Amino acid sequence: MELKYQKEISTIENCPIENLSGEKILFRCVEESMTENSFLPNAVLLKPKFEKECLAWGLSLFSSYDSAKQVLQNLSKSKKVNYSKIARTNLTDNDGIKHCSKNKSHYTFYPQKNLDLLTKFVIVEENGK
Amino acid sequence: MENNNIHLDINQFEKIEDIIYLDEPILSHLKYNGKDFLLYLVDTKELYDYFLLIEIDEATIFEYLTNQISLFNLIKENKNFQYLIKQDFQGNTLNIQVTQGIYIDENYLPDVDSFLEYFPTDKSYYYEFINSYKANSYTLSLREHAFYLKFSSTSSKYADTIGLNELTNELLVNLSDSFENFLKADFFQRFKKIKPNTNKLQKIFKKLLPDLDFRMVDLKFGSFEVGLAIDHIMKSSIEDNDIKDWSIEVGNKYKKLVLDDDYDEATVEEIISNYDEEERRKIFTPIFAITENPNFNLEVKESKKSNYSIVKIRDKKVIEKIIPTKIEVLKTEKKDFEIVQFTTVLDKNLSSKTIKLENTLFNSTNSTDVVLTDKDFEKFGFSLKKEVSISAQISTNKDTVSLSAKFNGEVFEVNDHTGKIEELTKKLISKIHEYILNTE
Repeated sequence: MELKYQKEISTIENCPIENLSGEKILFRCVEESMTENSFLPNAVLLKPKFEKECLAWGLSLFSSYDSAKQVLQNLSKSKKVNYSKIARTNLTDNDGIKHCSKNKSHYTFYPQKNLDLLTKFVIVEENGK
Repeated sequence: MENNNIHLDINQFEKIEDIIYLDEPILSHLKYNGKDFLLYLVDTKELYDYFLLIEIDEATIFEYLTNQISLFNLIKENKNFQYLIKQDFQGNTLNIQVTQGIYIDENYLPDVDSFLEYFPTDKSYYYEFINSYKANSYTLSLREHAFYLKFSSTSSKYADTIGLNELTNELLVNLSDSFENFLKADFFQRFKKIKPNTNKLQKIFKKLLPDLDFRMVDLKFGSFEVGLAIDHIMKSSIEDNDIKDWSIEVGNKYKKLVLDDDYDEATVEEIISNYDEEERRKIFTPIFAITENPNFNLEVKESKKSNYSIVKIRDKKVIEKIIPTKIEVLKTEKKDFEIVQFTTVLDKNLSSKTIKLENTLFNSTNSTDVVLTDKDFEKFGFSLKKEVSISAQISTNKDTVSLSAKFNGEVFEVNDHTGKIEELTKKLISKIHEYILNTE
């Protein structure tokens, strides 16, 4: 399966570190109005210091609405400008590679090259639906 | 670096783990020179990242990861200097400002309710970290409510240190026995009316007993000091509310009644009215064995910071009141003697001198005659230097054996209850010997 940014990812050893199979509902912190920009790995695109960091080429997702909300509450007011809403998705194995690492609530998702992320994610409200 | 005098290279810090990661590290735990720091990405502007570097202790990190303190308060209440670091996107530090929690720009702070519950996988540094802190905080919480006992030796030979043997065999065993007896007595006193089925009550108590034990939460050597606590947390598994309440209180009750430092009148009255004599004997005998032993001191204090006081019962009547002396009737065994006479025929060629007594081979009587000669006197150390032959009579009357003799018209008699003829003979010979010495 070819991933978005496959060329860059391929230059990093053992990246992605693993592939968690199966369907999974996950949540992402996004802007007030969701755009394509909400699904760009902006950190690595802007900051050369992350070029060789595998995780930075993926998108951060969370296992529950509440864990995503906790992250938003822990962002500084300045950083929260780019993250104010929570979007929900149901990912299958065909959508890309996903894995959990040291924090059970945090997943990194490497989307498949042709996946339309804007239709894959839906902004949800307080109850996560 | 821009115009400042602080030189600090974040790259020299060891990264422990990213606590919050959102497309990039937001909050990371770092270590440097044995100290813990949090590096918090507070802003990204044009071509620069702005971080707050906060020195912090591990306990606060644990509190933050377990939803006990917000990141907002962690920053605002931190008394250490904090560093606002400007970094370019290559990772070069351009500027550092020293600041304090109270002066941090509002835009660099998270929400007031910025709590976090971190669920580490077993790959995470925090997996062991949180488990270990939880175990320690459990011990610490117990320690806060612990009372302390100190056993020490009164002998100056070993300062106040206590021997292992004394500690285990004389002190801890007694304390443990007393406590277990107290638990049993108090449990049955409390619940026998509510739950009259004794067998059922026995089963409940047996199941409950391991959870009732004091937890040892602190220790000091030399003189042996131990902090003991009642485990409130584990007792939450007890379903019956009455039993649960009792199990939480019974440890304190034991401390108050049994490890009382002065056994005042009110305490003694409570002891006597609550427990019968047999129960009191089982509870207090092991404790008084310690407190009344001149070789040891048993001291107790309410908490780690209190002062010790010696558990000592000054008025010994108190001990008698709690454990009255048992009046034991001495049973003396009445003996009924008889003299047995028998004649034996032995085969001279046999080496065995064993004589088999059969009922038919001997008969019994209540008196018999013996002759005491000067050889008998010598045998018992009384020298006469002349030959004598004195007729004596051994007789029995129930439990008394008498040996009597007539010599020079004088009657000599000795009595005994043990049946030891040799002793009796010696006594009689002594009397006759004394008479001979006085008259010759």
